[in-house]
Amino acid sequence: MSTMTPVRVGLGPTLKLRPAEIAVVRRILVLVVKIVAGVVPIAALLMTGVVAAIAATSSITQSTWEIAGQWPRWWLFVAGITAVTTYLPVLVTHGMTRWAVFRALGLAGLLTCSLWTAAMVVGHVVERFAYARFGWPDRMTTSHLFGNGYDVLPMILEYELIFLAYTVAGALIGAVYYRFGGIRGTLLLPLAGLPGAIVEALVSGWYQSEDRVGLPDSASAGPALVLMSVATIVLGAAVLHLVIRDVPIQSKK
Amino acid sequence: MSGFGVQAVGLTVRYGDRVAVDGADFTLAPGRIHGLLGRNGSGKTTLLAVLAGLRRPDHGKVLVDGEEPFENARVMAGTGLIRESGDVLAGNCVGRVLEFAAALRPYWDDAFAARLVARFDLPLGQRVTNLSRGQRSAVGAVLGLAARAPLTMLDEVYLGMDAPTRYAFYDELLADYIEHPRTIILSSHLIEEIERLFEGVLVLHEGRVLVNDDADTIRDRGLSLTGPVAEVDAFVARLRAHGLRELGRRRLGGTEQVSVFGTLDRAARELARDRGLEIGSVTLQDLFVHLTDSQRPEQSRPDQSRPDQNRDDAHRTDAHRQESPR
Amino acid sequence: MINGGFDGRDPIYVQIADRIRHEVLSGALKEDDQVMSTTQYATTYRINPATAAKAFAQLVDEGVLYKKRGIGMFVSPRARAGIADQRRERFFADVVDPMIAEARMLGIALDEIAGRLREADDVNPVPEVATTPDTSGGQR
Repeated sequence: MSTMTPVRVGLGPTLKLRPAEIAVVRRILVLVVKIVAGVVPIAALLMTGVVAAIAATSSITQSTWEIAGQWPRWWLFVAGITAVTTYLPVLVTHGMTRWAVFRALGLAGLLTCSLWTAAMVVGHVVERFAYARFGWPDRMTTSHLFGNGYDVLPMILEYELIFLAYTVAGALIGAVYYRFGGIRGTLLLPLAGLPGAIVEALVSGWYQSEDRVGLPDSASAGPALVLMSVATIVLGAAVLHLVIRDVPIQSKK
Repeated sequence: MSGFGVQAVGLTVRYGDRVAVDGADFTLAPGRIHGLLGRNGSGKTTLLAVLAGLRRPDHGKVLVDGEEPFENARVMAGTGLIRESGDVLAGNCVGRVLEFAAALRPYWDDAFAARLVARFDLPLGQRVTNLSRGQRSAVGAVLGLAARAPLTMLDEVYLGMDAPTRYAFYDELLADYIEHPRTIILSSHLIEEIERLFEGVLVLHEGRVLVNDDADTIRDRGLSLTGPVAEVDAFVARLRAHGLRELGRRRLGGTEQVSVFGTLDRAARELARDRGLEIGSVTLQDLFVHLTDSQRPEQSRPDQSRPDQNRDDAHRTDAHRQESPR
Repeated sequence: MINGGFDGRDPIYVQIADRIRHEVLSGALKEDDQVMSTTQYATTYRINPATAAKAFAQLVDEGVLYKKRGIGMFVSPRARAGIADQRRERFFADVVDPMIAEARMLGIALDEIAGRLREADDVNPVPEVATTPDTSGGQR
């Protein structure tokens, strides 16, 4: 069959994507793009309205777009849960192995987070530019890895890491619920949600006494933070894999 | 592509304390239509789930096309299980559901799917959850047939269909099977109409294999003897002495009918006729009922004929009459 | 006929074989006529083609049908005679004896039956059906 599996490389599970998996990723991305394309302009409009209102009544002293960053992370968290509880059973029943589902959903998740990161970064840059025209400061009110709206590289890192962590946390919770049921799922909930909490904490510098804005002074702390966050995400994904790799698919009857 | 064969060796599957499949051994030849029969709770659905790679055996193993199916990409992609519940993405319309399957099933035939949709008169734009039970069953049928999986398993898919839809389903199934031979397993506890499609039969009872054989061979071995009570009793006693197994008895007035599992040679048949006994066959449906009933210790006491077991009933095409589950 | 007229009395392959034998005997199917293929049987009567194939295999064994590879199943030249022979052998056991038993049960005199038989023979004598050439001499 020309559409069937490509040649396997090595003895282990192949990493190459099969047509079915590409189809799944594409299907998910189409949905996500629609959502992002719909939500972001609306958010931008709202923000502009808020800024205009504040500027008219008092004065702008801080960034407004920063607040928008809350929305994607929780959306991704819920999306993670739903992706596992709805897609996993249906895809396996349609003949995909759990490993293939993991790969496909993983890639889709990565691309989705990147989309949201891009949206956030663009928003920040636009805001900084707009603020500069009016002479307003775009001070960040909470800790970040980036110092200001043009600090693009740390910005990308931060948002990508946080979004990935929240997605993995959601997926983990979905997987735990699906496999162990409501009661055990609820008990394990705090554990499953850890990746998000950990990365958030790392990025926002909880270990320091005052709010830090911008990369920490110590030259090695920055990379260390990023590494720890990445490790947390990878660990979360590994646990997710362990939970779903041999999960029995239930009958809906 | 002529179908995956199936082999089970000591297959055991448990749900916690409950054993759903208990040391099953059987072989299903590739490229045939097999009937998988069993009462509710006999382990049929669990068995199919294991074949589709949805569960792992707790003990023993199962081989599909020579390999274990669990997390086996090649085998799982070639195995299609359709259940009555319909494993489709919620909230999608029929058209999207079919598109989804087309993207995932390597042997999917779009033209065939379109023909089936027309034949079953399915509204492509309607959400699957808003369809009637019969229409949902038809969607299941389309998913199962158009995928052309080398191992296609349909689990009670046609139960929700009305008679015309069922006949359309049998026709399409047969025609496509003839043109594209593959292994098909039809699972049911209601087999009156569909048993004529079977080439092989596998009967499960309480997780164990009761029968696994060629359908016509089994039918050959089912006999009913009808006649005066005394004659029938005497004759059957002789048969039992020769090792033939009695399956069930019915009495109505002075006439008795006994169903027997085994074969009669020419001489035995002539003797029966001489004694005024009528020899008939037993349908797979009746054989199935008897075999699964006969596992209970209260059997083999001559019963008064019960109206719902009247032989004429069995021949009425009434697939909606369900056996009481046990 | 939704079920193709097959009842539950005998396995379907037996009924198919019986039907073909009947059609050969009655002349509906003549020597070297082609019989419906297993596929056609399957789709017409909603049965598995293997069931039809089993009937054909039996009939080939008996010499009623022969197979032309790649084309199909055909009626053997001596099929009719062969079936007639078989049925002739069993005629008295299968048809006459049961009739006598029934007559006894109903109290009908065998003389009456004989009379009726003679009447029928006068009006419409039984035609001679060709039998297979008998090398051992004597028919029954």
